[in-house]
Amino acid sequence: MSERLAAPSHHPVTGDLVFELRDVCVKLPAGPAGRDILRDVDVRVHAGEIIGIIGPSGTGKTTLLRVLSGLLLPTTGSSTLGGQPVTGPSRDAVTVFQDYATALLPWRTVARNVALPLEGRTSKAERKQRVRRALEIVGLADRAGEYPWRLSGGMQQRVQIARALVLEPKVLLMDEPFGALDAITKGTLHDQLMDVQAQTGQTIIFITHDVDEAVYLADRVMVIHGAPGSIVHEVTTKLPRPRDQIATRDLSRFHDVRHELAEVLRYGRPA
Amino acid sequence: MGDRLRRGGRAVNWPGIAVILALLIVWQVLVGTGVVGVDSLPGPIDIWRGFRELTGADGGLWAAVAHTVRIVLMAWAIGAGAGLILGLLLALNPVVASWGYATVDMLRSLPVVALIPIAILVWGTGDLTEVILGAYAALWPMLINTAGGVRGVTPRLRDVSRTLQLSRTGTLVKIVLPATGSSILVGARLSLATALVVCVVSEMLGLQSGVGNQLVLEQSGMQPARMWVYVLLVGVLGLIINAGLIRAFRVLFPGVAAVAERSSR
Repeated sequence: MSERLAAPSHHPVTGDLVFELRDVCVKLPAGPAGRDILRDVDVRVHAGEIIGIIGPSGTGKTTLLRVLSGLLLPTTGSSTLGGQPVTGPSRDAVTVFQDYATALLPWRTVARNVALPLEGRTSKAERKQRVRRALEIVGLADRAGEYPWRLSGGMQQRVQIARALVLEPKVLLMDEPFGALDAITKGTLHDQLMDVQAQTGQTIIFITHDVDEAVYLADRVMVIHGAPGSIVHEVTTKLPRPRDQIATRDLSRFHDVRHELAEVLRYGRPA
Repeated sequence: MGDRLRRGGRAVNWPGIAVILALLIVWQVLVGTGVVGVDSLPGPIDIWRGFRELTGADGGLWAAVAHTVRIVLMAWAIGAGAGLILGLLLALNPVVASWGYATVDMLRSLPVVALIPIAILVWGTGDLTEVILGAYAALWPMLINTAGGVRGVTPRLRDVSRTLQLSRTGTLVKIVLPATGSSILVGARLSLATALVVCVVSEMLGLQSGVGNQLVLEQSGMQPARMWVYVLLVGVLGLIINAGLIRAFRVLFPGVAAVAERSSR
């Protein structure tokens, strides 16, 4: 667990600008006129930040993440990653999907799932080594030979995270990564994810509909609201790291941020 | 189930075998005691005697079996191979789909058996005719199942392939084909069964060799026990070829086979 995938960065972070979205609007084909999903979204994310994006369902959270990942291009507005315009998916920003059972390849073992993005791109020896390292980071080195559907949900999601980590991307994009898991598993994975992030210094942008999860994990939480969705509020959590399931959640700052977010989610603005 | 997969096969199904044995005994008793007294229905013991005769020095059974198996496998390889490629094209290429689907729907609804006399007229009574008919019959189940399977691949896997930056070929070989694996296996098995039926029927309807031809010859020779040998033989052939196909699939694609078996439970 002590090995590093990439050069570590310092915490708290004021790194280089990684993502910049300007005036992003997304209109998807639906009916004669199409439907506006996102309107005038501006997002700036710096290297090493953990960003939570929270909002009610139907406000375009997943669409926003697809724009960030390059799986979907904005209808108008601009999106840049590392200063370069986003024209499609990039190996610098890899997505982890919510539905791990469909996103993993059930006919491949855990190790071969993780090896998938490296095949044909690295030597066999390097691939083997990187796969082992990624599995060690998520604590699944001893399950390498199993089929993913023989593992628990939390383990399957860790396999998917390892498959993204093996590419050593600058940014991990996570679409409700823990939404399908029970509360106890969720808590464990939160801490593991922050461990991984502390080791790799990666930028993480995750989507959630869980206020506690957003506050506990993130340096900054953005609230997306409305239809079409736009970012209506942003909070810097200013909670100390490393975070602790009991101590952090007892801090009055934790409750303040939680309260503020809950109000914005209810009224669409701070009360 | 996992233990079974690791062993790579099933344990011997004793209860199933017991039922088959019991049925054979009932059959023998009914025929032997004259409860069912039809001349053309011999008992299992008579059929076994016929089998011994046909596998004797001048029996000719093994030659017929070798012919039919060889032709069926050849026809299946050609037909199912073509069906796989055409099915992929039909599902992945919108131009092929929009031009081809109506033709596919029309052609596959023609019963192949009705084409046998026409094929014999055109290509004669040799092996070529049988291969063509068998391959044509094997084409459709494979094509339909492959195309349907590919269209059923979850769009999420397309996202996965894009975010991991797989190439087009990589996506096809590493994601689309294995994800379609269980449908392709179903198609392959149906293709094989259909090819066997069509080949045997075409041998019965005029071709000069093979199991079907022998069956008709024994019929004209008024040899019901020997006829039954060939009838049962066709069934056993189907079972063996099918089991061989599944075994080969398990060895060649262990992961896809494991998924297919899991989803069929």
